Amino acid sequence: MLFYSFFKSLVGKDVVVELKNDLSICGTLHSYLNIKLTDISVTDPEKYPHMLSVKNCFIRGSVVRYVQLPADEVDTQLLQDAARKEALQQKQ
Amino acid sequence: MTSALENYINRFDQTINLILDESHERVFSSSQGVEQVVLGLYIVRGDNVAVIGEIDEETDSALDLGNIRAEPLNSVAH
Repeated sequence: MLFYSFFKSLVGKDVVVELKNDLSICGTLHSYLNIKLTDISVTDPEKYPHMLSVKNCFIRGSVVRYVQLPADEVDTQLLQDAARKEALQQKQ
Repeated sequence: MTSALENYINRFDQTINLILDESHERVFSSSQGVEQVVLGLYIVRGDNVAVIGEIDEETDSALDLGNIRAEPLNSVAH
């Protein structure tokens, strides 16, 4: 639940999604869980020309390794507190 | 060699199983240009799907596939 709301606040921001096959895709977050990105670019286009003609893409959630977020968009204190609360609730 | 299935997605479901019509495979190789293999009607099991990219027709027709060299994409390691 927490990460639903967390990602909701990130829609419209630019993120870099690193996949489990080592491909990294940069784009504007359109939706989460499965990840939709608009206006994408590959971080290393020389090595990965496979996506040259792709502007928007859908990434299956199961292949995501990391979602790299802009540091100034994340309030880590808030996130930590919220995570702690959520963990407590789950225990009960 | 790495491959990317392309063309029209007719249907899909919750687990991203796909039905692809008029599909062709683009095989990338570091030693020769991109090879296109015509496949026709395909059903792909969702487990195997990593990325679905929407192709921009304009940009794609401007590509010179014969000159593209690429290392194989790694397979997905969970």
